[in-house]
Parts: sequence; structure tokens; C-alpha cells
Amino acid sequence: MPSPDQPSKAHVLSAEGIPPALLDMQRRQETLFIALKTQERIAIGLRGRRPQPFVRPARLGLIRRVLMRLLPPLAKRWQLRVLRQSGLFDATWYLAQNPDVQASGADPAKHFLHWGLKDQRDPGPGFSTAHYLRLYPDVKAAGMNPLVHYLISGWAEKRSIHPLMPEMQE
Amino acid sequence: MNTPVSGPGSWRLPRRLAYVVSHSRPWSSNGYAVRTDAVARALSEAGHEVIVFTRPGRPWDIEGFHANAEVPLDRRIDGLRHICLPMPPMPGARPIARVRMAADILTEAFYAFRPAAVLAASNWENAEPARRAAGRTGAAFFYEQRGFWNMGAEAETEAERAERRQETEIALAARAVFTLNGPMRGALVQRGVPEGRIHLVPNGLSFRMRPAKRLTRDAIGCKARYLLGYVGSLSAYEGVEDLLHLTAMLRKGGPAGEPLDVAALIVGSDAPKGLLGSMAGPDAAPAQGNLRRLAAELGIADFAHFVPQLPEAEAASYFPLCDAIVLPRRRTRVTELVPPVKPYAAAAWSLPVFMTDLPPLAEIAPEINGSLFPEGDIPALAAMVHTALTKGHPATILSLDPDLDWAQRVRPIRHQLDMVAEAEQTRNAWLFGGFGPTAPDAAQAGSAPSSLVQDPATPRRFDMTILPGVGLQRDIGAAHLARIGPTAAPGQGASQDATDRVTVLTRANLLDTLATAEPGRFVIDWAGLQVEADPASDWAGLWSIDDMRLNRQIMDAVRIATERGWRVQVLGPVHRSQAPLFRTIAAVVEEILPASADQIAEQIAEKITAGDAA
Repeated sequence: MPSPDQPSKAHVLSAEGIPPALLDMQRRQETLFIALKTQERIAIGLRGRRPQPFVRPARLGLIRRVLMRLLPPLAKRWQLRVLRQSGLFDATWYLAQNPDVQASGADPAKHFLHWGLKDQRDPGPGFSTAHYLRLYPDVKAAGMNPLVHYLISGWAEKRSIHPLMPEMQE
Repeated sequence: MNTPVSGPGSWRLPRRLAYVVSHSRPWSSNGYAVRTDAVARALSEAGHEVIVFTRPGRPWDIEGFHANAEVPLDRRIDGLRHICLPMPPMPGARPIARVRMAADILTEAFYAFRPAAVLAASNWENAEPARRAAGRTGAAFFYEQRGFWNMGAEAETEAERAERRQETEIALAARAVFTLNGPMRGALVQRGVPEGRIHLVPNGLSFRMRPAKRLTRDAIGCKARYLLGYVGSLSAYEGVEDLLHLTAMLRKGGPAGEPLDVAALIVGSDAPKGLLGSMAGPDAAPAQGNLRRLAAELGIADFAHFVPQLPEAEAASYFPLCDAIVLPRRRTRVTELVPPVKPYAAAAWSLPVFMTDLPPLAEIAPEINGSLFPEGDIPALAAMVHTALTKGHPATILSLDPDLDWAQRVRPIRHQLDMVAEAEQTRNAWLFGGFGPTAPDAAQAGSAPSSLVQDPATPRRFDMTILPGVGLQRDIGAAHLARIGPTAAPGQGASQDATDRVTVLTRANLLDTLATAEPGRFVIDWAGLQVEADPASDWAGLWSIDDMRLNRQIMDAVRIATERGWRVQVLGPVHRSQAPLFRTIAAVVEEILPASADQIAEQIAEKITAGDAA
């Protein structure tokens, strides 16, 4: 039995005025917190791997491809349709993100097709134009709208369309 | 994550500081990160436990950061603890939504790490979540105003005004604001921050820092006799092209005298956010390309050496190569206010520093024996550098004031943190040690005196938040007693003052009273109910399995009462066979027996002796 002058360890407070047992628990809590956050980080990373579904345009026949090469307005019209159908372009989101477009009253899809590359605006929450152009300078060099590029060939090449999505994913 | 039960009444670690910053090592090596590291290190050397929390979402949100890169969330960098907190990306979200999310993440972290103080550095987007989280966990909040982000442009837009309002709001909410120099203090005072709450923590230098590796001039391909250096970012306002003009002029001779064999060394790149940008390739560094072109135009391409941005320790190894450092800053609204950390880094090597004559630089110049020249006046600068290189410069012989050391610079922060720590220690002593002497006494004595041993009789927990209600009860008025039981005299065991205000509880007013009245004692007179045994009473069937609704109500009542700080007592003895459902609340109530334990022990002893006698 401890004498009154020799206090039992559990009841002595540390220099900070905190029981040592509590400090012990604090250390364990910190370890657990970090473990939890590490898992959360992994979860965020996995969310990025979630497939980003979209509608792929049908491959065009040789004649139409030649026609479109010759007549740019025709190509524009086709690209606009592809863009609208893809599901990666979100007109409502686009207008909410770009109040200037909303104010001008322009058609969001047309605006994006025309200015998307130059202004680096995102077509929807699932596609980051800046990320795509940074990773793939060839798209910028070709002067192609990044989303159209992805729909036509980027997808087949397993390119990454937002910062969380790894490149060349299966 | 479930938020632990820890409101303002929970404990915090008195000497722990959460330092919430926007840029930190190892992902950044800009002036911001250098200052972060220096301040944190100086504070931790002074006995504070500093944890550097990089803004939630960093480093993953840095441009070009590899999404799948392995990032240890809790790491020690040269002994200093750094913590990163993941934040899900929010494409297209408004800044206020990000602030809210970051505040929630930081709140969780502060609940887990229990810092007594939070020091957030500029800008408001970094500090606002920290301020909210500190408020929620009850930690003291301080703000380090490092710059004025919103002053970049000449004309002030609506967005900039909004940002300035945010900055001012944070500075006003902070217990103290730390800033870098007189002009910045003036700007804060102008915004309405009380002068007494603003403290100066200027940039300093570390006398102990030595290079990671030894470099020679050959390693960078320099054959010239003298080398002029610039180490830092290549932002437009730094005016680095002046260094090339200067080099060209000194080589030619010009107004400065006979030609000198000098070369220029430029360490840094225009990566705005950190080291990652500089890894993106030559395309990503247009400023360096422009400077190379300029050097070629001036005909000094062979005498201009470029080194990309490096971590602080490695960049420092280029200082001993140089004979002088040139900082040709341009005059902008920002550079007229905000001082750089670069001159001190150069001064630590006893190098002459030539700086543009701007107010913040003019403040630094006498401290480090630097020289000032009028902005863009290359001939004047050339004459000064010429003299310094050929005839010597005071900076190379004069020793520096030890007050420039970071350890001295952070004194105002230390002072504030010490006050916080003292208050927290007292609070902890109250929380954990009853009313005994405070812990600092124990620390001074070297070992804990026996008076610190917790007496089981003293309350284990004393919550400051209920102090006025309990401590002043006798002065304000009588204690409140709410009781369940017969209306007759209170049962045995509960000593009751005649002055107590008594509320007799019925099933109709039970929850109402407990939830709204001033907390006092909530007594369930089980013994009295057993004596009365009235089947028509409200409380017939209490804790029996026949009336679950009543039992449920009592459980709710006890839960509300304990949460609000009532002292819940049951006058016993409660025989578990008669009250099988008493166990639903037994853990959180005090069961008061008719006789104290000592008396029971005596009775038992008597019985034993009686038995022996028989």
C-alpha cells in the first residue's frame, strides 16, 4: 500500500497539469486520427478512379470525314452535336461557373467549343481543361477543343481528364 | 468521423501550437515556406510544441502534383512535425464552400490534436478556416499577416474590396496580429485593427544554417573573377533583368570605371507555388527563357548562369560562391509594403546586399549593412558594386546584431503563447486536480508534491462553464432542487438546506423542468416512493418492466439532466430485484444509501463481533 508521501503514479499530474494516462491516450488518438485521414485520402484517390461515363460519338465514314475536312462549318456542327450528347458537357454547370457567358446570353455549348481551349474553361465537373492541356501539349498544339479531342481519340488512348484520374488507367 | 465529446469544457495541450500555413516544406521553398519553417523552428526551440498544418488539400491541389504520389500525412522534417490533411477536390465550388469544408477538416484535426493556440498565416483563405476551427475548439487564435495578396493590381475591384474586408475581419478576430514591418503595421492600423494588438515579427536569419554540400564556381561553369548573385523567384516585380544589365555594364566599363570581370548567377524560377512547377520542363519557365534571351542580346550569355529553383538548404549553398547579392525589386503596391526574406539569407553569409530603395528594404538595409540604390538606376548601382568589389564593403567586416536571429524575432509570439499556456495550465489543474496548487509549481519543485495527489473527495471534474451557476449559487439564491417522490419531507440521506427551491416533478412537467430550469439537483426519492406505494401516483411502476413508457421517460429525463449539468441523485437503497430497469440509468446517477459506507462497515463489524461472541 503506498504511503501518503509516495503518491501512486496514476494520480500524479504531468507538468502540463494533465494526468499521464490521458497523455498516453492522446498519443494513441493522434495515431488513429492520422490512420483515419490516410484512409480518407485513399478513398478520395479511389473516387478519382471511378469511371467517368460518357457517350462516344460514332465513327464516321470516309466520305463524311473528307467532307468535314473540306467544310469546317460542317465539322463545327458535328462537334457541337457530339459535345452536347457526350454527357461530359453540362450546360447548366457551365453557365453557373461562367457568369460572363450567362450575361452575354451565348449558347453555352457553342461558347465552350469556340473558347474552351483559349480560356481553359471546364465543360463540366468531370473534365478539367487545364489539367488535360497541361498533360497533353499535343492537344494544345493541334488547336483542338480538348473535350472533343478526348471524345474522338483521348479516351481510346486512356488519357486522364481530371487531376485525380491516373493516366493510362484500365 | 464522429466528433468526440469535447466542447469548450474539454482540455487542451497548453504548449501545443497549431501553425496553419499555406505553403510549407517540402513542397515549397519560396519565402513563405522559408519563413514558416524559421518561425516554427524558433518557437519549438523555445519550448513550444509546434505542429505545422499545411492548408487542407495541400499538397494535392498544387498545380501538377501527381495524384497518386505517396504523401505521409504526419511527418517530421528535421524534427519539426508537419501534418497534411486531405480534402476532396471541389471542382467549380465557390470559395466560401471551400472555406467551410476546410474549417470542418481543421476542426476535426484540432479536436484530435488539442492545440491550445492556433497561429494562422496569410492569406484569408488559409486563415479563415483556422479561425473558425479555433473558435469551435476553444483554442486561442492568432493571425500572422504576411502580405497583402489583394494589393497586386492598381485599381481596386469589388472582389478585392471583399477580400480586404475578409482580411480585416480575421485580423480583428485574432487575439493578436503579427506582421512584418512598420509599413504593414500602418496598413493594418488604417484598416481599423487596434494598434496595441499588432506586434512586429520581422524576418530574421538563422546563424546556424550551413550548406548541404560544398559547391565550387567550376561546378556552375563560372570562370569570372567576381560573381554577382540573385537567389529567389523570377516574378516580374523582382526586376532580375537589372542584374543582367548591371553585369553587362560592369564588363564594359562604362561610367563605373575600368571594366571588371564579373558574371551573374540567377538561382530560381518563376514557379509561383513551389518546387513542382519547376519540374514541368523548360516550357513552364518563360521568365528564365526571357532572361537567357536578354543575356544573349547583351552579349553576356557566357557570363550569366542559371540554376532552377531549389530547396532552401540547397539554394543556400550558392551564397558562398557569390561576391555580392543584388535585389533589384520594382516599385509596386506590394513591394512598397512587404519585405522579402532574401536579404537576411544573404546577410547570414556576410555578403554585401544591394537593394532598391523601397520602404521595406530601407528598413532592412541598416540591420544587415546593405546598400540602397534608386530603382532602375543601373549606372549608380554599377558604381556602388564596382567600389564594393574592388575596395571592400562594410557588410563583409561588420558583425551582425544577434537580435536578427529568428529566436529573438519570434519573441512577441512566444510572449502570447506563454500567456495562453499559463491560462491552459491553470485550467487543466482545475479540470484534473481539483482546487489544489497549479502544475507550474510542481514543475518548479521538480517532483509532484503530495498535495497534487487527487483526493477522491474533491470533484474530479470542474468545468469553468458552469462556474457562475454553481459557485455563486449561495449568493445569487437558493440551489434548485427538482424531485420525484412523495411531497412529504425529503427522504433520509439527502441533506437539504431550508433555503432550497423545490420543484415537485410530475410526469407532465418532468422534461420541461429539467430541460429549461436552472440546473441544480435532480432527486428521485425511490425510498420515499416505496414507503408511500400509492398505485395512483404518477410514478407507480417506476423501473418495473410493466411500464416501459415511464421508464423511457425517466431515461430521457436523466439524459437531459446530465447533459445540462444537473446533479442526479437517487435516494436508495434500490433493490435491483424490485427495480429491474434501474440499470438503464444506474451508471450515470448517484445512488445515496441511508447510511454511509463507514457506518455499514461498522455495522458489519459489530455483527461479526456479535457472532464471535455468540
